[in-house]
Amino acid sequence: MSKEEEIIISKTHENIYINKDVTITKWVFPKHSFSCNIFLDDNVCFTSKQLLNIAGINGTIQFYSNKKTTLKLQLGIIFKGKNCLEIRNILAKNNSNSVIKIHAWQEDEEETILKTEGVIAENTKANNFLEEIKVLNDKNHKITCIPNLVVSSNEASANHNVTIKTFTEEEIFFMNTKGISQKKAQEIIKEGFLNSMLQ
Amino acid sequence: MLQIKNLTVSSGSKKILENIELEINENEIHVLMGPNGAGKSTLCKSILAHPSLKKEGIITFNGKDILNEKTDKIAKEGIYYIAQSPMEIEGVKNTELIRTALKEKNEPMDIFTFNKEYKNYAEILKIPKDFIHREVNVNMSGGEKKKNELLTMLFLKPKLILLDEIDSGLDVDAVKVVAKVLKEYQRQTKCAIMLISHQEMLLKLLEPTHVHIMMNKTIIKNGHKELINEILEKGFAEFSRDLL
Repeated sequence: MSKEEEIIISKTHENIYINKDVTITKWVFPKHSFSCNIFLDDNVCFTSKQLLNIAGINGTIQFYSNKKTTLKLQLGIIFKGKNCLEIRNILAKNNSNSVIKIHAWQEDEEETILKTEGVIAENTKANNFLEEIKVLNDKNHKITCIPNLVVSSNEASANHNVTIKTFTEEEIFFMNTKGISQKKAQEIIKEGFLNSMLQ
Repeated sequence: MLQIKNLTVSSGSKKILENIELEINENEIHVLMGPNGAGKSTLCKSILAHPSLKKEGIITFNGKDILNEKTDKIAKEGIYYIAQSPMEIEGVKNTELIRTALKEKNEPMDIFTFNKEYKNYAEILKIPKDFIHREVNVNMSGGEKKKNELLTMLFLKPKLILLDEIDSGLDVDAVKVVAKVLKEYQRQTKCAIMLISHQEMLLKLLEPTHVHIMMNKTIIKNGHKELINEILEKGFAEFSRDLL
């Protein structure tokens, strides 16, 4: 059974070692720039499935996956203000499975840069990596997505995709025909978009 | 109830409907028939003020001018629309959509009453009770989407129902269920119904009071249910000859 933990990043450079199955219930980010390395030991399952409110952060979270690790990162993120967030996953050994799924929304007219990267090291076998980033955009709200895959192994499965969507006229019209105002319709669609990540 | 006079509808610079005249009163069932592309769906969407459509003319509902009203206001006046292909809204559950719509109408419903009524309506419409927790129309068959939309309608209690090919995607049994629900709803509320359909079985079960044929961007003929047999026998070409 997996232990529930919080990830609290307080230092500029933080190293966290995970040696048993863990389910993350909370993330805390510092106001200053940061770089956080999370080392996943052999056979560990790391799960994080939640809705995050992120405001004014500038940092990198780097996962190092060992043998037969499982990483399940499913996040709905509401960004406020300017942010720069990078999430990297390095699969350095064999037989690991990594799924990073993010649904992101920028609350205001600032810009967020979201970088995601999967690295599958040379001479490794049977690693699986999936990265799916979906962004819901409104008029002047901006999220710049930079997905990246570096696959140096001949025996790996790696996929990534980024989808950018906005509120469509037909979606809003559909909600309006139920008597729901434009503003409320956008609110519900946005919440649904973020929460669908958690299902 | 609904009065449309001299309505012209355009999309961009293209005229899609011209000189539409229509009157629908309570307790009536109107069916709109016509060849593909005649503008039937556009008429329904224009009544609900679809943003892509520009209108000129007169549309009143229960004496109120709704020509330039916004869609959500028109819906709250009591007009309900089921599209030919209902939208899927990912992440938004049926329960949330319906309860929000009720709240926007100032008719909020507590969760216990809601659940009870949902189960009741689901049973009447013969849809699984777990639809309450499903995302709106997501991963549902065409027929299930239509029934899901009807279930929402039962909560919102409209005075005028616009149905665009409600029969598409419905199996034979489902057509009977839908017709029964609509007839019973009308019996209880004296609502008006306008549907676009060419499905003989559904039309037989609903027994429309008024039939309108749309061709060449306008309503070219009005009649009663005998007109349906004429159309089903002879097709629309017979009527287009009259236009030449």
